[in-house]
Amino acid sequence: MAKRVEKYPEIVYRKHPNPLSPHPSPWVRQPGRHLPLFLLLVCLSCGIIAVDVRFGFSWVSQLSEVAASPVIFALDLIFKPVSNSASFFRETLSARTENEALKTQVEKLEYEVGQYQSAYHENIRLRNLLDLKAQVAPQAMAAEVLRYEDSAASRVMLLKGGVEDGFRKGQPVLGESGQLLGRIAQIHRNTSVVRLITDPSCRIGVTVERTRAQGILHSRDGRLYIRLDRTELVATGDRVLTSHLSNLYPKDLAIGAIGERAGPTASDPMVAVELGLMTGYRVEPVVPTERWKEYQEVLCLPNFTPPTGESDAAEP
Amino acid sequence: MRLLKLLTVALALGLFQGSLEISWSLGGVAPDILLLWVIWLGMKRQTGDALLVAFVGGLVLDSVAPFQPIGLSSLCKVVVAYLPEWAHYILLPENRATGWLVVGIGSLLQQILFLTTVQTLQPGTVWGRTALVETGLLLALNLLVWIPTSFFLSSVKESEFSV
Repeated sequence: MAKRVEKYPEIVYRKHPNPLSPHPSPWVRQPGRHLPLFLLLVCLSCGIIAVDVRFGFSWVSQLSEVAASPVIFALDLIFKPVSNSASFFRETLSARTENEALKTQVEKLEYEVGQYQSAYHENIRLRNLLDLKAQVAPQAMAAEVLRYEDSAASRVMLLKGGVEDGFRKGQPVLGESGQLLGRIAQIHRNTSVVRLITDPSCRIGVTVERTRAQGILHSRDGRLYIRLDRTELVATGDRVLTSHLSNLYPKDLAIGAIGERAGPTASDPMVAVELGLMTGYRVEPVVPTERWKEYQEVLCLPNFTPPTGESDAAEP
Repeated sequence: MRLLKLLTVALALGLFQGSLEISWSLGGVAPDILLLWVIWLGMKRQTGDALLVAFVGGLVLDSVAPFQPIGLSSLCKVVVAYLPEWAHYILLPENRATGWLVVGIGSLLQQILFLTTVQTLQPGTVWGRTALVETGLLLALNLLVWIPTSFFLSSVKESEFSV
């Protein structure tokens, strides 16, 4: 106690004061000792604010700006590297989140680009189809391809559009570049089945454009062949069109061009062929058959109703 | 002489605080060193000194910091400078937690006063999400500076003694 008195001669140790004590410390008994100064400074501050708002203290600000500029410069020197480091850490920490967000965005954009590309290709296809429609028949109807079946037994195409949409049985169906694909063989309420010219059962009367030679187009394993009289002199690349004698197709629809001469295995076992009276040639379609499955829209020619009871197989 | 020293400290602190608020580039608001100094003086029972430092430092701070009326920080800081006096009267015995509490309440009180006055003097809406975030940030930063510092400040033993 003596030491404490020496160290703090003006005060005397006592127990911790109880705030609710009836005998609080002298200091506590004078809580408002600085109240006048406090009120004075508050009033002064309010007065200065009022004067500043009304008249402004631009000269004070200018003076302070001059005084503060070296301090600001020094602080900038300190804070800039700290700020840069903080930014680096913040950016590193946020990189993962940002990466995830960017990945999602990239996926979304890829999907959108895919959509745009799809729309672009569709646009090109539809433009080609429109051009073809304008060239071939302005009243031709476009139809969406629902399914493409390419099996050994049958090669058909299912179209969206049936009786209710104005499609009729027997309508020839064209693809890109005016390639003859086949004709509507079955018609339903909302769909149509197109038997393709590559179907094994299909026989079409055709003409070689240059020589006007008449022949029969048939298919084997999805490839097209033409049977011609052996006396006909055709050359590779001669265009093959539908014949004017055909009663199932309008004349002069493009099928393809004469290719190489068919070997014995490629020829069909027709008696006339076997006897050497007819010759077979490959026909290279205008659009390769491998690409037919890529068709999404086709064109159905109007106003061609085949005679009742006729069939492709009966041609010519 | 003591008053001169006090005023010099107030001027320097105001200048520093104003410059700090301009230079602070770590996001949000800067810690209010001037306010913490004022509170520390108040906690040491030097309320008169605290009031003077708050007033003069606030004036300098306002003149350095752009776009705020001169006198606004003085007003806010003078009010906060008197807070430890009230706190002593109402609460205490002191311990370190008292300081933390005073700093917290002081920071909040200052920010509320500041924003309310600005809202009164200027057109537009000051209160909003940003104001709340800044208030929270200021509170956190002030406590962050104060709490470690309080362990190094000399203890105030006056309440354990009487005259």
